[in-house]
Amino acid sequence: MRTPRDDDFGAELRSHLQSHIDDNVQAGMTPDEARRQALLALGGVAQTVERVRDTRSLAWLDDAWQDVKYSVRTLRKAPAFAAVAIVTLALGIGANTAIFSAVDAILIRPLPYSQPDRLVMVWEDATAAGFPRNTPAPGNYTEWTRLNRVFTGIAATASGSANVTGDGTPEQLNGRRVTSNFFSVLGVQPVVGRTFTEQEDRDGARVVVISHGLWLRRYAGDTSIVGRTLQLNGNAWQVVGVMPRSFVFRRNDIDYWTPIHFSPAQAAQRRSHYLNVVARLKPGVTIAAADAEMRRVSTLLQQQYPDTNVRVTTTVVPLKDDLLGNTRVELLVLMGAAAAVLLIACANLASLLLSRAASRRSDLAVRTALGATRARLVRQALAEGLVLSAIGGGLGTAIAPLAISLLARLTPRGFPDNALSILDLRLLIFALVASVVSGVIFSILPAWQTAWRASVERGSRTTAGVDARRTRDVLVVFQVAAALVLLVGAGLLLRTLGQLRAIDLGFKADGVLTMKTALAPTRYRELAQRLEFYNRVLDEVRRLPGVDSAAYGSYLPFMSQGNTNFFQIEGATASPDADPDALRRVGTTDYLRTLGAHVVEGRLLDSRDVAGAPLAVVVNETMARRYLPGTTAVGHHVRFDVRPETPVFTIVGVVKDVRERGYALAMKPAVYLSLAQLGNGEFADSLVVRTSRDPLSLAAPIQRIVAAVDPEQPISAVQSLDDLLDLDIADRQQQMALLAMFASLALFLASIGLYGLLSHLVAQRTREIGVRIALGASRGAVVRSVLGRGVALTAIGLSAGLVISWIGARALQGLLYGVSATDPVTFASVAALLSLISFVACYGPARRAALVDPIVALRAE
Amino acid sequence: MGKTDVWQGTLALMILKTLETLGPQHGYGIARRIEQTSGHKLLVNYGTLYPALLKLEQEGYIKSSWGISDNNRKAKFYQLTRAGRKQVEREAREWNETTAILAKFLSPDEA
Repeated sequence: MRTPRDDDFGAELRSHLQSHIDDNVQAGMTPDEARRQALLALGGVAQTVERVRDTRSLAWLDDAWQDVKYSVRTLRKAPAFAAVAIVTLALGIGANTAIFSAVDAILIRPLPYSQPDRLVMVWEDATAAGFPRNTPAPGNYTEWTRLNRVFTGIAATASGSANVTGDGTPEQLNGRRVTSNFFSVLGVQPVVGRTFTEQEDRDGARVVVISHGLWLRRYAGDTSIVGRTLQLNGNAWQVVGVMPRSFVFRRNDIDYWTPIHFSPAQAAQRRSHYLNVVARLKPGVTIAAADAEMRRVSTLLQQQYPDTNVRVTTTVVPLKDDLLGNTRVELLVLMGAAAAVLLIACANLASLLLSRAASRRSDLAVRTALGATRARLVRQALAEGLVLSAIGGGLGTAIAPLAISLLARLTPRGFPDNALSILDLRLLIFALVASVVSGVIFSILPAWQTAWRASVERGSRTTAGVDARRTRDVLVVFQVAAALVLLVGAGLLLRTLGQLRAIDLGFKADGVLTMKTALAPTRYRELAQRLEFYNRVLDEVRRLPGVDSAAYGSYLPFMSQGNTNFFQIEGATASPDADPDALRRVGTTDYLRTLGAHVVEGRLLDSRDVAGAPLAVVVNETMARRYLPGTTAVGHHVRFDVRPETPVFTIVGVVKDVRERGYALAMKPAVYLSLAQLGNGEFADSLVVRTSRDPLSLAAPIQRIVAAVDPEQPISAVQSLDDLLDLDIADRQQQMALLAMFASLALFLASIGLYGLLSHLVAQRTREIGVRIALGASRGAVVRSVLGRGVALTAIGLSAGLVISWIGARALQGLLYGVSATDPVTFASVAALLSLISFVACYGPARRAALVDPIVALRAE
Repeated sequence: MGKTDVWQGTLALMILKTLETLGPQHGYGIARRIEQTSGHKLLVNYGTLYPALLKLEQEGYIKSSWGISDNNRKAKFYQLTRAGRKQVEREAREWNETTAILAKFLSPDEA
């Protein structure tokens, strides 16, 4: 593109030249000679023009535009190369953008509270009982509030749920009962109305704050909802406020908040542990100082209440760490993996560009001769890279939202469930930066070598290629190493999932449908009423075709890690704990049979264990082995309270341990009781149905049965038991799937890199190979020489990758189960897989080398 | 002994000094003058002269305008600006200091 400035400079040069010619003529030269000498002295006019333009500040814009046009033209002439480059980049940049969206939403952005880094969770530390972060008891919370000197506020929440009726279809809502300072400790304001007062909490006023989600879903965002009443469990509750959309605390499925309203007795009890406690640090107080202070307070409480608190200390955890758990490591590992895939892709493109540069030697030589400067050639090559990466990046950004949906299961429950779905400005900036950086990365090496070659090319024909080839060797080694590292990561997680799945659960999870029919305590006041409801539903369900058995239980396996109860075994031979507790599960008499528990000793609960019959309890193997070693457990008496007037249960059976607390958590003693033999406060709202058919096919008929028994009764959490189990490892599964995806992509790209390198090598050396064959080299020797090069490169990359994995895999340790981070089986099989794939990638070019026809090859030059 | 190319950093100073001495001058004239002043020991590479002129103009030390040369040809004339005059003084002083220091280093009896 010519500009007026170029014309101006052209005129200046012509005038310069003319002055010089005039001088030369005056000095006695012939006009022709004078002109020749003057031109020689001026040097390449074009080169001078280029240099002046380079100096001029805005010329680069013209040049950039020219470079882009030129790049698009050259890329059009190599559509296969361009397509491969663009697709690879789109995958790499898309993956990185998707993962970054999760990293941004979960790790980078602050939590939606005021000064969120000053918030901490306070847990009871009952590590000795298997609960390093136990939910505090109200009595301890009350004492912490009174005794601590490090918090400006300390709030407690407890679970709640209610059936809402009277304004549409009955629905079971998830709620939290909270102390009145809960919202002020977090520093959040309602969008409509207000939160509770301390007075309302003390009086037990029926006031409720609802979530933004419930407000939109059930009340169409009508602001007049404030002041109206909701029928919750049959009582009228007044709505006083609506929380903002961004407000979640620890769970993103909470519909409402009500005052916790501790009675004086509740506020003092220290046996039942069920609170979540969140506190705000006073200015200047560190986490460590708060933790030390709370441990001091818990020591005081141990002395004051030795019967309940002897094993209880406290632990203070920053709220964000508490919410993130393993997620931080999971996301960082994925981010690293995605970045590695992009780097491998860049290495491939760099390698491809290098070989293209080699084949465009004459083009470059012409451009140099025409006066293109070295800087200009480098810029041209960079422009080509940036054009590619811009197109790839644009495509990648377009596909990123698809990948983002795959990440949803990695989002901890304490984050809004739509946290990831936004493709916002930050994400676009990230995609742009990723595109530019990768474009520069993969074109800088070829660009530099192009320029270097252009300057030495005129002298020699062959030496320039050696350096390029060595560079490509290094790139392939890097690719193999990086692919191996990713494969090791994916392999370790795959083994972990295998180990988790191989755990004996103690029950049969397949072919079971579960759902919840949470009975409102206000409508089903008496246990007898509840039993009648449960039995009427069960009778009808058992009659459905394909149903083997059906029962109600309090907490299904994998639903709760706690809900334990103190116990005492009369005549126990061993007493390992001062304050023994057992998981307590209550059900209708068929419960254990429906789960498919295995009897080790005695019998399961059955139709004998009804009201009025001798009180029966089934215990698990852990309890029998730990407290009654060497004797038969059956026949021993157990009580669940120290007071002598409390009922005594007789052990009628021992079952193989049922994994109540999920795959990975340690086993605890467990007791199973028959609902009909218990007191008035008991519920068993989870329905389990074992069937020989697809469990979910029973969902609709069972819902009709429930509606027939009680039309106002909502149903929730309809899922197969398999799905419930999967939730426990959903994040690991997702992590594994993504890592496996990245690792396969890396492996694929690395093998393409290897294949491309060797193909290029064979193509370049066709003549040499022809000569060698003509001179009597066997085809086997030719194949071996090409294969040998591939194998050598693979071996170097493999060794480097193994070393890096060996060191780096420790970062994964927290995500693994039953596998060491340096598991030799994983390392060996991954190395074998990679060797196999790379051998396949090398074989094609090697075979082509063997098929070289010496006559054709020699004629080619 | 062949002719030496002008050292990169010193070309700008030579241009400025030439313009201070001769007044407005075109590129070819500046080059000629530098070569003459050096007793033809220096050779001005025109490929570096014009970028250097442009740079000085961008920095505001010189300005240019089209005029008529001695032998009646249209040519672009460069002349010092006020900032350029100060720059000559400053650079000349620094250069003298530098050479004085170097001279001390290089004179054998001071070693």
